[in-house]
Amino acid sequence: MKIKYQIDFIYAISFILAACSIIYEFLLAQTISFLVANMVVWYSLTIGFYLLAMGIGALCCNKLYGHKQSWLSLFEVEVLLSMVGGISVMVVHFAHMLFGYMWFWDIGGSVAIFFLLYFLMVIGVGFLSGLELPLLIRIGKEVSVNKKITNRILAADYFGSLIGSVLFPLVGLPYFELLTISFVVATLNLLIAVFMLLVFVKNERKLSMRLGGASIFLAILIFALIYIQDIQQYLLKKYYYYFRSTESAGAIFAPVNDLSNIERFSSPYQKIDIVRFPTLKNSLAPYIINAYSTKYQEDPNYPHRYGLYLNGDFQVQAEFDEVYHEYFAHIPIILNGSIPQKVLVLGAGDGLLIKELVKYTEIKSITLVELDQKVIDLVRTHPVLHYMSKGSLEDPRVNITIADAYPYIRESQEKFDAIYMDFPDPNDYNLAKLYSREFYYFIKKHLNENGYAVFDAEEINLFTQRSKENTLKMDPQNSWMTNYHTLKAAGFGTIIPYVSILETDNARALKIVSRKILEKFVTGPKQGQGFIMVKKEPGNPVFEYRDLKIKLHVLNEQRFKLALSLPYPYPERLDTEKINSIMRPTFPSRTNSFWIKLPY
Amino acid sequence: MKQWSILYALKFILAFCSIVYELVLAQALSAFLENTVLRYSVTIGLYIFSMGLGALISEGRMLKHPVIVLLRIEILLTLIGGGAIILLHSVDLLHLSRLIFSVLAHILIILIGILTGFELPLLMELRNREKENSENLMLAFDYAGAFTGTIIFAFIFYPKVGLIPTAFIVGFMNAVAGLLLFTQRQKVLETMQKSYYVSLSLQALLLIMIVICLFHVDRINNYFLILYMN
Repeated sequence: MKIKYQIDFIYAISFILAACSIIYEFLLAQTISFLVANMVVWYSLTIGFYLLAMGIGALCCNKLYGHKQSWLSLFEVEVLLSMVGGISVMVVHFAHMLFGYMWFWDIGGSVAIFFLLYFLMVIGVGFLSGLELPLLIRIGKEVSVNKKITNRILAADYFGSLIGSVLFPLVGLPYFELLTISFVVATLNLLIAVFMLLVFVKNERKLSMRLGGASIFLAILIFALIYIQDIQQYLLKKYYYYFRSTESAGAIFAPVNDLSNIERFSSPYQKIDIVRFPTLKNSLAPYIINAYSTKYQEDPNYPHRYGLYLNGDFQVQAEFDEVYHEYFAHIPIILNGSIPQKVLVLGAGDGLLIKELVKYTEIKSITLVELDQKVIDLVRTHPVLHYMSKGSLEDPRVNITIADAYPYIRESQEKFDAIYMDFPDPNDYNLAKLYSREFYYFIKKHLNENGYAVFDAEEINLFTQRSKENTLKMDPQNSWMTNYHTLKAAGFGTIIPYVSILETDNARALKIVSRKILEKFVTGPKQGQGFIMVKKEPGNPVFEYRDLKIKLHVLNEQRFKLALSLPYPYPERLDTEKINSIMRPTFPSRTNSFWIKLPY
Repeated sequence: MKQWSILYALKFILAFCSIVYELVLAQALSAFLENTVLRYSVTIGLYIFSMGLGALISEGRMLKHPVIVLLRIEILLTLIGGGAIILLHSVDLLHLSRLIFSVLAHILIILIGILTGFELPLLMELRNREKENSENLMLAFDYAGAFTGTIIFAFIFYPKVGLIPTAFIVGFMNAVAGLLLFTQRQKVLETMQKSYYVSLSLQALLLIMIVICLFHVDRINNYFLILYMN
């Protein structure tokens, strides 16, 4: 083949292979972001270890392939790379299944094994990718003495990385599953390897053997692509029904065929999963639910067993969504002593919080600002979600804006009597922005006189320790202090935390199960969700229960008092170290970055 | 290692600095605008692409005077990389359209990327004059420096120190690395000696400026915070 065409092919191959390599990297980072959260940390770590492994690969290149023909060496590297890169997403999921089993049975090292397998994949793909560039440069030098070739190959490599990194989030992520992308890219990789073998490798004896090996793997990839839906469902079910994997060691990787498929909806921002959990025979759960809530007694058609998850994070379970939302919506109204007229709701596109707010005739307008159009669409069209929302999004008082809450709050001029914030937990540096001093400061500017804001605060419910006097004490992981100092720095005069606790002394429930079980699964601070209500003005909130004259399923006077009964400290001095800022985040805590997700 | 060269340490530090500059900008974009996976991937991709552009442009004339060119690049990088977040903060306060802000931030990302792109070929050229065919080792140190940068940024710089102090600290490291080119005076042609010493002095000046900024970093932080929340 003419030298000039060879050189052009070398540039083209450098370009495409670089694109493939960086996509493998992003695939891994995105996969683990789903399973561990904190995208910023995991993208950084993944890219970091990837680069390190590439460096080691570049160093080892001469030792491994110094005496071998260049094109043949590249062929071998690419075959290996397509194999490792192709299975990488699956391996991380398998590692997660292993983790679920080990964690459930308290087998030591579960976390270590998961991360070990993950980084093995990252380093494997990185190492092999690191071999590419030196080999391509060597090929370039063999083909032509022109000194510029090295630089041009470098440039093609870099350009390929750019295209790969733009294609992945623009074209890949919103429309395809990570699994699909991994197989497609591996196939492309393998095809290029075979092309190189056929066109550029001369005088090689074992050509047909090598070709055969590559073809077998190619066939496997194509087979996998044909059955991609089934494999995807297999992975989803293994995640959401992980209790099945814990039944025995043999069940860890066994497919779950008898339970319902997971309904998955993709948006540019997140993966929305609706799970229909199996109805457990002889389960006492319905009886316990009825002991605490009137929801199913008044509406027997209300959905059962359905769970809503965003990016694998639990959002709502049909059986007890009213516990969360009634405490969230109504307790601040009681504490504030008056019902707001103009309300802003940020997040909460599922319509369940708004379902509570539209019960008040006094509320004249509700502005909903939701980031993801897909969530709104789903609530309108999905029968289960629509039923649960009770059509609240269609109430004439509700006007919906699709926007990111942070810039919306910064740019809006409107003021409100109440602001509700229902965001995902700050498990990510980017989400931590919505819990920052700067964001809260802007929220404060949008409050009318005597207005309040309230948001759900993860992990302020951690009170499992006991002090010397046997009263409850905050756990060290309790995020109350971080929240408190951040809110204080934002300038709020009144800060009231509360948790959606249910009482243990429920006569009806105690007839069915023991007090111990109730404490472990139903009642107590740890089972509840924390909220923090804030007001500009320091003042006297009304700590007495008031009948709000609306239909409630769970909230009553006893539970209202319980919610406010936890001993939170209120230090006088501001601790600037703890303030969460967009310039310097204190969310998430370091342990959260390595917290492996399980759906429940 | 058969033969150690200060050039390897230099590449490590410079790769560290460059990737931290880029990560600071990516986070600043997230902080001031919306954040998506697109933002993060595009920043990294743009960075790598600009490095490619730099690699391309650096062929030819620049390879004749690697030390002088490197010195000038490090002066520019110290200035642009160290000052980028301050610049973006100030632009944000002007309340221009989001598009203008975004374009400016991306220009900074590309600029830093291009300048960084010159570094690897130039340092490879310098090292090749000492010992032939050491590209792979230089590449390795390049990757290692970038790796260290990502880890330190995600776990120490961003959550413990904050974006503005990080920019200053890394600018400081960049300036020190630039001054390390003092060790390469044998490779500078007689005709370029004057440029060489002038550039070194400029770099030293920048170093002093950054040290002053570091001493007043709390005041600078508070100043921008108050302006931001106006």
